[in-house]
Amino acid sequence: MKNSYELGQKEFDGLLGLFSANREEAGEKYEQVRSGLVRFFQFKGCADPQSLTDETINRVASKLDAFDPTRNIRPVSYFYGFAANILLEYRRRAAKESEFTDSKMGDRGITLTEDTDDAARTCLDECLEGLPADEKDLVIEYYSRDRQERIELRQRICERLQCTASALYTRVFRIKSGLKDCIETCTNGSV
Amino acid sequence: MQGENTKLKQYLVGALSESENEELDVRIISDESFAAEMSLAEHELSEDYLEGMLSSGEKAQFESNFLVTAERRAMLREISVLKEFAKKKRESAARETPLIKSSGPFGGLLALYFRPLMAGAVILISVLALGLVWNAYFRDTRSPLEREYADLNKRDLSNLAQLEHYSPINLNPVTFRDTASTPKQSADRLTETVLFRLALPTNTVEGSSFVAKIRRVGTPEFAIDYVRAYRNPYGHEIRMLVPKAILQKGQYQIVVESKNDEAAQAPYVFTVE
Repeated sequence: MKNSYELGQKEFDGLLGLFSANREEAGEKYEQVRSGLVRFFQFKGCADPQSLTDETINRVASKLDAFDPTRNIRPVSYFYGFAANILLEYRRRAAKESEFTDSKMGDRGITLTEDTDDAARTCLDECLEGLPADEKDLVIEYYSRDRQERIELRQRICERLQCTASALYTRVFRIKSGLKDCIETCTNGSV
Repeated sequence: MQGENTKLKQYLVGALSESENEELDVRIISDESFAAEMSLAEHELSEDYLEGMLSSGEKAQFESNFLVTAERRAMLREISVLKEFAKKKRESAARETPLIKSSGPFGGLLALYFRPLMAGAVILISVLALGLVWNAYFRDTRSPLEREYADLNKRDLSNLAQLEHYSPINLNPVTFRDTASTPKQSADRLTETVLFRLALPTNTVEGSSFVAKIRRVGTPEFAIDYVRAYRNPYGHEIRMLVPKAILQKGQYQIVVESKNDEAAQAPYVFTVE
């Protein structure tokens, strides 16, 4: 994405001024909003959250004069206003681009089971075997049920491990991330 | 769409009102810890889609509003592979693990005794047998599936409305008169967990506990060490949750043994087709 505005030192200082007169505190708050914007675009399903975040920050910086501190608006809300507009523009562009591509479903869910090839399955088996037994058992148990039984099973795992559902997911996610690296190495080696 | 994260899932597919949407937008930007809940909702939403839990409208929203990046499509594919793999592993574990148990220490010893070339192994096996005796008497030898269902059956199953999503199998104890016609169940129609309701004699004390053993000729026994008697309009019944994975085609017998009463109770018989 092209940035219509380049952020200079003066504009950056102005941005920090939105958060606090204390430069160190302002820097921390700025970083928090920046990573928050990345999450926002990510959960909105945008392809390049970092660029859209940069675009939002640049646009806020270019309109600093319009920010009225006497109106008691939270800086987060001010940034959000710009981010929402950029999201709309992004979606309009994406819709136009998709008119020129083939049917969107062509590369989506339909081929899910067809392109999960044997090599990946064999590698998954090998990589799971390489995990400590408790991690391997947890991943298999976590994914072993469907529908209502899946929900109930995970509640029981949470009771057993004495953790929340999101803490359990985070634990499985970490194991999965390690697996993913292993599978990539394995499938590249088997080609 | 269901579950605790319904609102977050609706947000992800773009099904919330503008004000609800805005509230979550701002929370995502300002609250870093909220990202973990959102990631969980993304993951569960993908599972709902793969398991066919979304309505046709939700499915369309999922495909057009959620499944829009390569990362999310990769995530869906990854979950699909893991689920398929985990189910196969679980099914094969359910078939294989109890087989090892059923052969027992003496079956293995006898087999070795009749093979001269392996006679030396008998000594080694004798030593191992001591270990097996230790296992048999002092260690938990249940399979993971038996342990899982033992925990499940310890929960309160008194509210039948909460058990509606399980396939029910209602059985009466077998007497000499009715052994010729055993109740038949179609394996295709069973949910992954099956609810057994076993009628009990009228003199049963509510809350009595039992050990239930499910047997089929040629397959290992599946035991649940704690099932309970519940009241019903006609007297009492045992309610017991059992994994479909152990129910292959054939005739089964369920034997329940009271933990407080030594008297033998008539078994329950059914056939899976």
